[in-house]
Amino acid sequence: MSEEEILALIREALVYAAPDKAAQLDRIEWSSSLSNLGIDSIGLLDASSYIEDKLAAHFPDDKLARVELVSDFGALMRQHLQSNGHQDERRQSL
Amino acid sequence: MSVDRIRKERMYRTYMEFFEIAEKKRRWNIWDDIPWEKLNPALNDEADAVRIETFCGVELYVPDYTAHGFNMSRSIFGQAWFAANWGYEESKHALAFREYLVRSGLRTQDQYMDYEDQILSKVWISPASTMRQTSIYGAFQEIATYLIYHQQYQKALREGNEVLARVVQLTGRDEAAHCGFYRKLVAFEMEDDPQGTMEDLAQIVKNFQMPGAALIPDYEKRVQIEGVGLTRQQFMAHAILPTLRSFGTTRSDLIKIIRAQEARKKERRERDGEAAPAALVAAE
Repeated sequence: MSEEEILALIREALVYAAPDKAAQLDRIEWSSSLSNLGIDSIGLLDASSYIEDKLAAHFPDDKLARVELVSDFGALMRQHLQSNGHQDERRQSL
Repeated sequence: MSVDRIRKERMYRTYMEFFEIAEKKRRWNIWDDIPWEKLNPALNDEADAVRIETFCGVELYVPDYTAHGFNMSRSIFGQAWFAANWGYEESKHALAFREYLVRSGLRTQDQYMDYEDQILSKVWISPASTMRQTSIYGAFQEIATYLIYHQQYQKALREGNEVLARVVQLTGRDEAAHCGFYRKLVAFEMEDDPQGTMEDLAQIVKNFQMPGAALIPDYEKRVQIEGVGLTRQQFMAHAILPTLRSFGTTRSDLIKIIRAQEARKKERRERDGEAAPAALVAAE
């Protein structure tokens, strides 16, 4: 997944969780703060659940709780994608 | 909602366990257990005043909280007696904060009285309309309050403010015990009616706000001061997620229910929207 695709998926998830803020969310950047975007705790849980479904992932609760910036979300996704990639590589080498 | 005798008995036993610890290990009074003689006004500033005043303001709604608690629970011994004990303990919190504010000179008696008038000019209305919702709301609200006081306890220790440290230690310990009791009640509800409890849980969590949010003057400005409230991360990490675990559920289950509720709401709105013109035609 490219960086653009990751950002697009985060945007999609946030719009899903907070459709009333769609216009604002359209302009998110890596440095955007979720609090400043008006994403509350449930919004964050909803958005992460959306991403987890899309990626067949499960973000660790403690790491999810620390998400504040869009880039934190991106880091969680990258971590998942990398560990999945490693697993795929391991599977191939077996 | 009627509660059967087995449940009533369980709640009675749960209350007795709670009350025994409260009576034997947790009782304190504002005269002997707070070292007022060590009060050092130089250790405080206006941010401390706003924090303590805000905590005091929230605790001042005790009459409204207990009225709600009693109305909800009067037919169930365990819960009604808990409401009485809870009201007693919370009333001491307001007293301790009030004493701290005035004794430390952070607020004059007149300033305090003006504030109290402002606070009591409004009435707290519970976001919960059933006993089960009250317990769920209580579980979240008490843990959040505990966390806020605990932060202040650590700050006061760092700053060598023994008096304030003791005040927030004692009040925080009570809040933690209240949270534990509510969690047990919600666990019973989960056993009896998991789906209904999850529906209530979703509703309460989705609309959760601290009791002072709509009542305390300048609340939004006050929470900008560090320590008056919790950050979203703190609330998530230390309140929402552990509370969900204590109820035996997960964040994904909660989100599924919230989404289903939202979908039903949307359906209803669409149906009503479509039905409205038909009703008008019928009226004509």
